[in-house]
Amino acid sequence: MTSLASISSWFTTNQVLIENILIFVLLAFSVQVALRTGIFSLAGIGFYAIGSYTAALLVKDGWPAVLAVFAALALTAIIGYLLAVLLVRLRDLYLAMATFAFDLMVGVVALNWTGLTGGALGVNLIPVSVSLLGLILITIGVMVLLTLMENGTLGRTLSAVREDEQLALSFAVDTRRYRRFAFVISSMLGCLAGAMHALIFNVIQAQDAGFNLIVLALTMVILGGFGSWVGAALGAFLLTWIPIRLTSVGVWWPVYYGGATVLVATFAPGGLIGLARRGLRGTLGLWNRRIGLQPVGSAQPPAHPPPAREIP
Amino acid sequence: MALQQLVNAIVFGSVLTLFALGLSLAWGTLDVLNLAHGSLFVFAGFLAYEFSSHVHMAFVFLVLSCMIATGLAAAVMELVAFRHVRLRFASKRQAEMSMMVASIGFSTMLDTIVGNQTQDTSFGPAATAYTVSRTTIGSVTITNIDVVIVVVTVIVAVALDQWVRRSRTGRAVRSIAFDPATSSLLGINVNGLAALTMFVAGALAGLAGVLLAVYVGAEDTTTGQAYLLTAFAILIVGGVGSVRGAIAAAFFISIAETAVVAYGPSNWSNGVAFLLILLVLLIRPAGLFARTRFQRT
Repeated sequence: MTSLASISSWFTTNQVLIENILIFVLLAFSVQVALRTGIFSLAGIGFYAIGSYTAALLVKDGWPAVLAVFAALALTAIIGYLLAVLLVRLRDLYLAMATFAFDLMVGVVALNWTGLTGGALGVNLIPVSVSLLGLILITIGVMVLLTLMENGTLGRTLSAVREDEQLALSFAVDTRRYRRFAFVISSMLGCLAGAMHALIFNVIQAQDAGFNLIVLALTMVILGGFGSWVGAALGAFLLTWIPIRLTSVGVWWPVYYGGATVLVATFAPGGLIGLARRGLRGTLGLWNRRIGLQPVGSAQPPAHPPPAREIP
Repeated sequence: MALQQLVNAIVFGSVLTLFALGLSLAWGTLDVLNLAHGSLFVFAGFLAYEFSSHVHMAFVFLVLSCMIATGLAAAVMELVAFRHVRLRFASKRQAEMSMMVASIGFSTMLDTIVGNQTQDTSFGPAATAYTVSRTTIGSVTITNIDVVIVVVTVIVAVALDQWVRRSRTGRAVRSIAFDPATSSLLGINVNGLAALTMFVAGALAGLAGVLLAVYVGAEDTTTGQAYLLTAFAILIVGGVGSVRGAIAAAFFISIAETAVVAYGPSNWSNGVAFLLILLVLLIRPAGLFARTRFQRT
């Protein structure tokens, strides 16, 4: 019982930090799902804003929180689908740019549609209607769904769409459909993060989802590694936790993390999680060699290469 | 009144041109979407403030020293990160993304340095570094700063256009944009030229930064972001890598934004650029001024 009590008191003292981390984890998932399918989309941040406004305004109108979140998700799914159809021709940096513009356009609309969004003042006094436990359960649920999405036929298909669209097409994979699917999922995850932020911290500011949030979310995903949701979660955790916990790094902290971003982006394309995996594989390989096992998938080349076939 | 607005739009468009040209050069030739370009721009303003408050030097030397400093900073980015990305990544898409993220890292570092040195307040070059004189012709007031900005922009834009089109180095730079592997086989020093291109791009950001600092008097670390976003729109509208397209788009956007601020719903002026990005990408992804060209996949 004492350990249970100490755990709950630890949760109470760190509540805001944990809530922040989990919301960023959800947002990072939004970017990661898109990147993993080869879609360089940052639209999740625009949907973060749409989700937070929709959920907050509905709850303030007296809707129950669950319904409000579902309504926000449905709305973003529709907008996300339309956006995916519109942007179907764009790839890579051009897609990134278009979604960037979409995010900032959402911000401009939020700032100027004063009647609905409260303009620069934002939305205040939103009833707090999601508990920490609820947020934790939602995050775990999303993690389970993402695990399912990364494995099996669906996971391999999405990887194929990322690696080589033409090849995937020739294997009868409707790449446009899968790209739309990933885009909509990414939009909904962004919306979920925004809705959670609004319903937990009970205030929205028009400049919440701006340039800085886009850059932060992208950095989290790249630092952690976009190959799997674990990397995105790690990146979100590190970039939220370190600046709060290590106050000693102080005002110069962004210099270190900017430098780390440069190094990881340049030398570790798989992100920190990729580095960790490689390190783990390295140590395992060392251990295997010590006990005389061949590591899987590293068959030695034959000592004598087969003679070259004669060309008739 | 309208004429005064037009003069303002032209001066603003000139600063935008200088800024966007550097960004366009880096993206068009090296595939680097340099998100640190805005930070370099502000960094130049910061250096102008530091230099001019400590040493008294002629305005030309002040501008030149800031340009060299930001050019070197951009070249360092190339040497530390972008070069290695280009060597290590087989897929172009992965390389583009990694370089963009690396540039975010550089941008964070530069912004933090400037922000901490200035306590996040706005700054501008010391008033002793330059003199302002006004001339009024009819209803229009023009300062010597306006004239300097426009003249410098015209000279730099023409020189850059001719350099990229005509000179031997310029053609080599364009060949890198087309196919770096083949260019290197043909004896072009790809790494050296890439560093030179980044230096030129950074120096252009520095030039724009100092001129803007003098023009508006004060700026802070968020100024770079606003300019970066507008420059994105210029690149997309003008077509990436096209010098002439960038110039045309810069003036088009500056006139559109000035018109919205002066006569339209001024709160929406930021939206002009973002709306243009979306519209142009949807209708004509190659940019309004780009020639359609055969693209290999």
